[in-house]
Amino acid sequence: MELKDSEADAQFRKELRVWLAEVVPSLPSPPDPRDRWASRRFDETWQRLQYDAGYAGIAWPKAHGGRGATPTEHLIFLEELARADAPDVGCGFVGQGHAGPTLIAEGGDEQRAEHLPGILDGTKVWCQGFSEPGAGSDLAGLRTRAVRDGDEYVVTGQKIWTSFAQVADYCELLVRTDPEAPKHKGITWLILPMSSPGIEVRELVTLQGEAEFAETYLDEVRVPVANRVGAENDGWRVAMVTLSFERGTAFVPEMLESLRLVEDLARLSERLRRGRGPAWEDAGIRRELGTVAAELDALWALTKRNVTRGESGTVPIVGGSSFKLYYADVRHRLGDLSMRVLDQAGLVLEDLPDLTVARHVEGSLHAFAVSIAAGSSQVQRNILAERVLGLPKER
Amino acid sequence: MHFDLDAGQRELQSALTRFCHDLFPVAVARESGEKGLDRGLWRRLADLGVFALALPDSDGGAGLTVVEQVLAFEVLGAGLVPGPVVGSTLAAGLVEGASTGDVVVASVTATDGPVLVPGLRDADWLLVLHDDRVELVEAAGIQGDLVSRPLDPTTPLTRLDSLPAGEVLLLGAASDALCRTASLLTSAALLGIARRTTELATDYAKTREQYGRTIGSFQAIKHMLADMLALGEVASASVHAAGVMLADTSAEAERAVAGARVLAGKAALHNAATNVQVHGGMGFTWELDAHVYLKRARLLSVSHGNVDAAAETVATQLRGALQ
Repeated sequence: MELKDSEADAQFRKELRVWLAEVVPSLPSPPDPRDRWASRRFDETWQRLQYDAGYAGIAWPKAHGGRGATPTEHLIFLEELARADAPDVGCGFVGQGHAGPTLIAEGGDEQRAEHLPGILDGTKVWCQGFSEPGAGSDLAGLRTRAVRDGDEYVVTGQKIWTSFAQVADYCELLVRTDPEAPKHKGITWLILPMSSPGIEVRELVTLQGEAEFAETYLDEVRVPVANRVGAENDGWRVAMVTLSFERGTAFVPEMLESLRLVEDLARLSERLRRGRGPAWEDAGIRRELGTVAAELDALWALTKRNVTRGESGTVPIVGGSSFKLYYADVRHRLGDLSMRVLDQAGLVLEDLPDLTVARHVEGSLHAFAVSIAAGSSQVQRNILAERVLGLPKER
Repeated sequence: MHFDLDAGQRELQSALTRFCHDLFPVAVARESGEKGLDRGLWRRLADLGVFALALPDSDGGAGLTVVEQVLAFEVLGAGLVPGPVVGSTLAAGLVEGASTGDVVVASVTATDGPVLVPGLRDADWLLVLHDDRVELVEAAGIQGDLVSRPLDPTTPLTRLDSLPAGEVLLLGAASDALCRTASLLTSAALLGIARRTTELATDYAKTREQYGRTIGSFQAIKHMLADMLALGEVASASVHAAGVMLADTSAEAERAVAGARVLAGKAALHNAATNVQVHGGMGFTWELDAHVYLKRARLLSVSHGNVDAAAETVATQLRGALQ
């Protein structure tokens, strides 16, 4: 059991650090996130720089244009990006984290050749059309209907929480192709070009006051059968492949970002008054800062163990779901702590003169996204109880 | 990086688990609290090499590190093994006969004023861990009162008006390292309790029936058990990482050791309490062992540090790292 870098890993880290020190300061300042198209251009610029330097598709196999990094190198990559305050993946998230790996695992050669290069160099943006108003935690209950008509499927229905739909080129779409079959056995996975006629995207404003998501309405949209990934009615299995990537390291970058938030909050606590003195002088605040920092350190250690145990690709359920469940809880407590430290400064969603507080206030609201998205905390508990502890199913 | 147990470390844990299961059922710990430590059993524990894990081969040890000590203490904690195991491990190599179990060494972290010392009744020596030094005192010369009703029925407590001065064994960095080891091994034992109580509660939930079904099929119970599992999982990553960093004498070891106490203390107390709750009325009885895990967790959570002080240490380290 050891945590030190091997010689090769230390070399990888060193080169990465040199590159980041050069490239991050050269980036333009990030646009207002409410400007979706400017954000897309910014994300594309950042992705292109990574692509040119050979870091795009860090964990993808070399045969598919990735770097083929080892799981340990992948973690070093995420750690150094956070350390350098590099931008996050932005609207490349679905393509790089979901659609790309799914096409690598399950797609045909032509589909890979057509789509993987654009994901890698940042020129193509994907969104995820999985959830529906009636299919949230119970994803397999989805009802968006696809009817075969010659070489095409005709798709009608509604998707929700489709992040980046406003600016996306493609959507990874789950549809129901056999309404008579048991719910897991009538689903198909399709590549939907967002330029297809019959698609209407409506922005969905979150409690953070931003249109991060959209509702996507599909009215007799025609999708070529050639865009199907995997067999007809085998889409649930393909989707589980996709989600297994999400439960692996998807939340690691923002967990590392949370550590930066705690550090910044510790700094702020020395400047902001709480009662008669700085918040830092309040032992209750200090202890909670220490507790949250210790818990995030522990989650980072757990990530390293998960990655070690999952060298072959998938993180074990116990480690993945424990991480997600615990991280969501820490994020909520960090949010509460932020608001205690900020006191009245926590009542605005913008930075104050000489006081950068908006990221903390937004963070306290973002905590709900962590405990609801990608398998809610309640679903994670069911997974741990039934699939790890072996307790009987509810039904 | 390879952050997981290797084959030898897994074997160490499973061998020690079998040993504890066979020789130290919880009934032995409960009897030990009442009647005194069984020196024969103590020597068998020593014969297994538990106290001497980190001693060099030339001194009769296994030549391993604090990482293996941590893994061993996780098992000892889960098994509620009686006696001052932390003190005797710290004393191996410092006090003649400690590693072989011929003498029993208790330990306490120094505080001002009156102090309760666990395990002193059954010990030959007492290690006193001060901020800047480690002292050794002969137990026979210590004036104290045995507490008639200690919270943890498996661990005797002696009340001292103040800690007696003794022979200075360690100073400076060596003293600091010993104090960190004491804290971390205690956290490892807490982790063991967190994991064992998860198993016990899960086993019970699978067999206990109410309303015509096993209570583990109710989501209210399931979610409690899932939380216990996750707490133990995250705490184990924290405790093991602290072990590796302490062994590597990493600059971040102090933060990691304190963090391990925060995580392991929280997990052990939460899980031991939830285990009582899941056992319902039977959990509230003296007969069932559920309360013993909870009370041992309470004792360990304030031995060689505590969760609040550890959280403060992490916060201080966090601030130091920013400057």
